[in-house]
Amino acid sequence: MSRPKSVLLLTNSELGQANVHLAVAYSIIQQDPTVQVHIASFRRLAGAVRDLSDLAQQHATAKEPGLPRPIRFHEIAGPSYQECLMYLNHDFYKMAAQPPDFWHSFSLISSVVAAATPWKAEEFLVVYRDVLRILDEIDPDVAVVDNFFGPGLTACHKQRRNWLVLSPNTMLDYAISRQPNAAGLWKYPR
Amino acid sequence: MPWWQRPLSVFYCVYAGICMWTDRNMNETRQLLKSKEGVDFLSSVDLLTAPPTYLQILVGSRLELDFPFDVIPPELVACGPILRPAPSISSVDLSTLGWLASGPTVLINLGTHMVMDEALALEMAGALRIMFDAAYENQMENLRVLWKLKRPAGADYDWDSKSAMYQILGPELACDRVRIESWLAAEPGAITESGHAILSVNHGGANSWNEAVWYVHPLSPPSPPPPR
Repeated sequence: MSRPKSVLLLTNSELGQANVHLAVAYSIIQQDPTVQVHIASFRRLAGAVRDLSDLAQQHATAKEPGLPRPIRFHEIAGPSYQECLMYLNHDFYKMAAQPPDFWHSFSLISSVVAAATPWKAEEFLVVYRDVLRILDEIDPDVAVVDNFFGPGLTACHKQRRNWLVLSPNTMLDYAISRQPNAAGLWKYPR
Repeated sequence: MPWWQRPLSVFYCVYAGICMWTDRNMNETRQLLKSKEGVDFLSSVDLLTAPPTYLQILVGSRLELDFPFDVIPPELVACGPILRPAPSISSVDLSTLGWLASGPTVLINLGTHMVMDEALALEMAGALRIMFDAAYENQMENLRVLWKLKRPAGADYDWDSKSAMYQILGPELACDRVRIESWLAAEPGAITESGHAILSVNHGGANSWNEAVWYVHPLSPPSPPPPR
């Protein structure tokens, strides 16, 4: 029997990022129950993936024996994004609640930049290598990577496999640097 | 952006650039990946400034919901709001669904991480008092509020009849038109999806915003009273 088409979604475990991956996983199952959907993330997303898989199976309209396939969850080794963020700044949420006036802007901006890569280099390497292991094990037909999941971005880019980025954020983030007359520096509030 | 704020915006962007350039984790990760794995680091920041040319980037937004742009990068694919399905509220919490269906409801959910001490909660209650008073002046006697309130660990404030909160919202708490809950059986998305919300008060995160755009149905303005 030929191998079913497979999609692997690689995401951080915080729901703010993972929600869109879960939504896409659900949608794929509804549209084509023969596809095997894989989700790779840190341990704390396992419960949400299981619940979503159950919901997708409940809602699937075309039911054949064994289809749709349950979503397969793959745990990624290493510290999660949020664990690293809390280590970087224990009062991250208190800091984020500061008013955005001139003097607070410096700490806010530097915290936001630091949040782009909260993993220390050695931690990043652990996560990155485990992502490579998962990619090699599954060898998906297409990989979908969370825009904030640096280890996944790096691994898929290195392998030049068939992959794309999925972001819950707005067009602004990705369009801003391409606007003429350096408009990204002065035209848009952030 | 107003012209007088533009120099400040440029200044902040330059500062952000310096922070990125000097970010320790980013620099050390780049070096370690190169030395140990022979690999180029692709960070979330690189996606913003110099994404690989072959790569497609899907976002949960639409041009109609976003800022206007002169240039839209061809690799950017705007998919519109992408909402995670949740078990319907009718399957997990019929009682709350029945309550929601009884009148127009304001939903307040400021996210998992927004923890309110009593002072902040009382500020919010004060704002709701102003809202209710304005609603009554406009013949909206049946307005209700569902407020998911997360208190700090060990917090000892409450909203019973002896509380400071009750001093502000007593009439509505007494007749069950304000419900303050620290936990809801149904997911926030399912509550919004029920279709009974007329206003969503949230922290502005993409998921909350998209759910509100998709599911919240604001009331039409009430008809003005007939002239006497």
